[in-house]
Amino acid sequence: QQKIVIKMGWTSGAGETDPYAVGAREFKKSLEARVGQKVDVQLFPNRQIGDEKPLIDGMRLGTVDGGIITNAVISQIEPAFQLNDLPFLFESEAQAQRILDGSVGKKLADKLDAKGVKVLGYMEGGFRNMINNVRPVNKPDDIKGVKYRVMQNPVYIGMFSSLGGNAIPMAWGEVFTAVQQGAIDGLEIPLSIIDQNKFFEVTKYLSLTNHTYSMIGLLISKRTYDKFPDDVKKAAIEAGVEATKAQRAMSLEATKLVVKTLESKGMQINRVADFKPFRTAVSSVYDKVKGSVGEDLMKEALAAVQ
Amino acid sequence: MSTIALLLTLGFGALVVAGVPFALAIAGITAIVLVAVDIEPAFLAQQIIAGSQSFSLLAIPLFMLAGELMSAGGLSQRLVDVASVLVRHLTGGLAMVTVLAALVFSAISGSAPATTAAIGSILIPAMANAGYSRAFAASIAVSSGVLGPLIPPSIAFVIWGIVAEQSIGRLFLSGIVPGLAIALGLLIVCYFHAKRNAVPRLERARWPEIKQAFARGKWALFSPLVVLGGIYGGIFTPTEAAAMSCVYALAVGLYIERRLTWRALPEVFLKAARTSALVTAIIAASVGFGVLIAQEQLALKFATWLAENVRERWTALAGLNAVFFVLAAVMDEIAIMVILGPLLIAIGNKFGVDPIHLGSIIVTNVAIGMAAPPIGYCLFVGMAISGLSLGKISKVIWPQIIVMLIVLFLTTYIPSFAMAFQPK
Amino acid sequence: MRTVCSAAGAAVRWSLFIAIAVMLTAIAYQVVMRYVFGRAPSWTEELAILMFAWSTLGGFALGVREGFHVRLTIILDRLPPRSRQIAERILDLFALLVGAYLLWSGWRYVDVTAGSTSAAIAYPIELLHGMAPIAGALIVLFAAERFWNPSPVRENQEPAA
Ligand code: NA
Ligand code: NA
Repeated sequence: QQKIVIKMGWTSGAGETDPYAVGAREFKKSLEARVGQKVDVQLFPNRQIGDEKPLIDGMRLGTVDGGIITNAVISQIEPAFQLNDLPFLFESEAQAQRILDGSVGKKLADKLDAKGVKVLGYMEGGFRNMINNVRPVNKPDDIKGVKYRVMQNPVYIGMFSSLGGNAIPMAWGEVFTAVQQGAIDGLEIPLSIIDQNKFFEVTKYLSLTNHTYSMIGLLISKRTYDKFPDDVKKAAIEAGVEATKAQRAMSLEATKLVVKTLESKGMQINRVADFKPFRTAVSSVYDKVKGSVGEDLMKEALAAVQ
Repeated sequence: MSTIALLLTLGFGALVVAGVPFALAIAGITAIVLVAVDIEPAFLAQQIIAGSQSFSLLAIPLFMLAGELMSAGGLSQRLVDVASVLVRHLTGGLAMVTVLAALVFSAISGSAPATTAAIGSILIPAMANAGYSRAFAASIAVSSGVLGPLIPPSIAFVIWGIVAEQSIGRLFLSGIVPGLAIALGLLIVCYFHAKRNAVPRLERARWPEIKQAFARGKWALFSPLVVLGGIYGGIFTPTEAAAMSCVYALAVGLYIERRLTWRALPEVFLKAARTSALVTAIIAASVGFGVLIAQEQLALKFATWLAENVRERWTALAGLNAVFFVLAAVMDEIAIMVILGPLLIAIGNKFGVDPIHLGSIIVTNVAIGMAAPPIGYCLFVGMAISGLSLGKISKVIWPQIIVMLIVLFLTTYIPSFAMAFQPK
Repeated sequence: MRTVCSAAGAAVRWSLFIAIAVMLTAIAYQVVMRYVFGRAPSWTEELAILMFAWSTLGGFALGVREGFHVRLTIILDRLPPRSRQIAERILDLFALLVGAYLLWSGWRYVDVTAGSTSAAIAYPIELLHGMAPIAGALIVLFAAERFWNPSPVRENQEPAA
């Protein structure tokens, strides 16, 4: 009997500690440990089978079986996911995990399900933080007048604008040179990328602002999933839970390690003590997404983070 | 091999040889695969749309437009006049004017055929009148065109930057030395050609004429500074630089040179839209094709095979160049970059080639492919302008192709050659 | 048929001119806003990319009508005139089929993805995805035009890259 082939794609590399690669490998391991005689999980890192938007579109069409996708791209399909990208919403990894594994996460998953994509787990890309060459960020005022590169995304642009910074959208490929030449002062970025792309060579301050929790979703096409026999369906759900747990643990380890590494490479690191003033400062961003997230879901999430 | 793999290789080859345009052949074979193995048909549309969603790709129509505006506004003629007063009196002087004018034009234009068209349409007739054979005149315009993608800015580097996720600004710098080296080689070819065929020399320009050429050419000569100064001064990204060079060419053409009129603009824009679509349709169609290739893991299997059978970097690179040269003879160079990009990057990684250096090797190959018979965009333009057949131009272009292959060899094996201008 | 095709051809040509002009204006505006006013608009890039998508897909279709797509004519050039005429008609039919498939494919794609909006401007995504079936329909139309009114044997026109 032929095995069911499950093709999983993601856009970053296949490195030891890459959060996407770790998640995909854990899922493959867990699923094949359960029903390995029936399935063959094939992994495609490095955008081999497409960028994130085409990957998730492909899951809706059933031409891509599964993958690990950044929250911002998921929210292009299901706008309620904009919730997760709200700046300064989650205080810690543990808090984010509790809320995503609870009723809020369940409601988000149901909404995405209706669009033809199933959530198998809310994995973790690590909080996004700020690096720059002007001054460390401790309070909202420290961002004033500093030129930050942002993604071309209204939430990020809105966040920096409401904090008084200059938000400069720029293609990723140009960012390193732009910091080096001083065309921009800094950027916001997950910790692991600072190390991987050697940003410590061209930026001085790393402020652990934890401003955005980057959820990365372990997703599977509903068309693919619905074709599975019942035992594989059950195994896929269980494998998703198990892989997510393992991935989060490794992500936390990696975060601790990378902070140490960056310190040893000479970056000046500070931790933001009180994030509440930041959240107040960006409240206009919260108001903007209320419509697409939904009043009730927004209320529930805000109550949960208090 | 699986059905899909066979269709993707042999089926595609058959369509191209039968005369189906590349863009349609790539989209068509994708559709055939989807039908043959029963994949959701929406895949084709989804991938074509995905293939048109990169901000960096916008540099393609904009650099095309900048080139068209320069020609329509008379700035290309001004560049030719400046080059002419400087070197026309040397042995092979007018042919050298072609190379030098193309060199400066390349610093505005990102495209090889646009460079051949802009310079060739002025200089092929002029060279023929001055005693060069029409075939040689056409061939030197064709081979000067390859400077377009090597000297920054460059559409080929933009595409490679997207495929390989490297800084387009840094990639641009890696084309300068190979570009200058090819220009130098072409100048030498011009000299010996004129000497052997006793082409009469032209009269040396006098001081007032030189002064006048520079005075009239200053706006054209200044334009590379707008493009390159903007990019390397950290003022704009390559895509924005392309837009700003259009704005500059528009302003000069409409208000200073006054050769452009508002009424003429739709035609000029449409010309750029056509040449741009010709490239971008191939890119958009190639994305889905590339995904099917990746899913078949053909590239992975080939890279693994290569790693097992080839041990040394120099043989791997020689193989890469040989395969590219052969493929470029029957396939569109842009499609090769997009479809085989992941494979080329995998090979580069395996053998520890710096990604920027790899980019310069790839784009030097692309540039050569544009001029090397039997197919090449510059060749087609040269044939169209001169009215000569492929055979006539091919017969005289080989010394120029050899010059380019020597430069490719240097680019490949002397990393500091391509990397000379990289920021430390 | 002839009037429909030339009207469609003219419409595509004008739409391409507008697409390139809007693209250029949006990016120039973005640069000016950033340097003169110190803030970057969030919509320019997305608008420019939307126009670019049409310049690619509309241009793809126009290329079928005007025959400017690059191709190999090694074998075609060796055929006697009568056989070449026939071969060209077969190639036109092939283009028509590819267009028809793209039309169908695009239709399904729009159908599955309808209802979402773009990230920055929040334009309905049908605006972007709908370009695929429209381009497919135009290719069908233009290929049919060539099939029934064959022009003299096509030559490679001035290409670019
Ligand atoms: Na150039
Ligand atoms: Na060639």
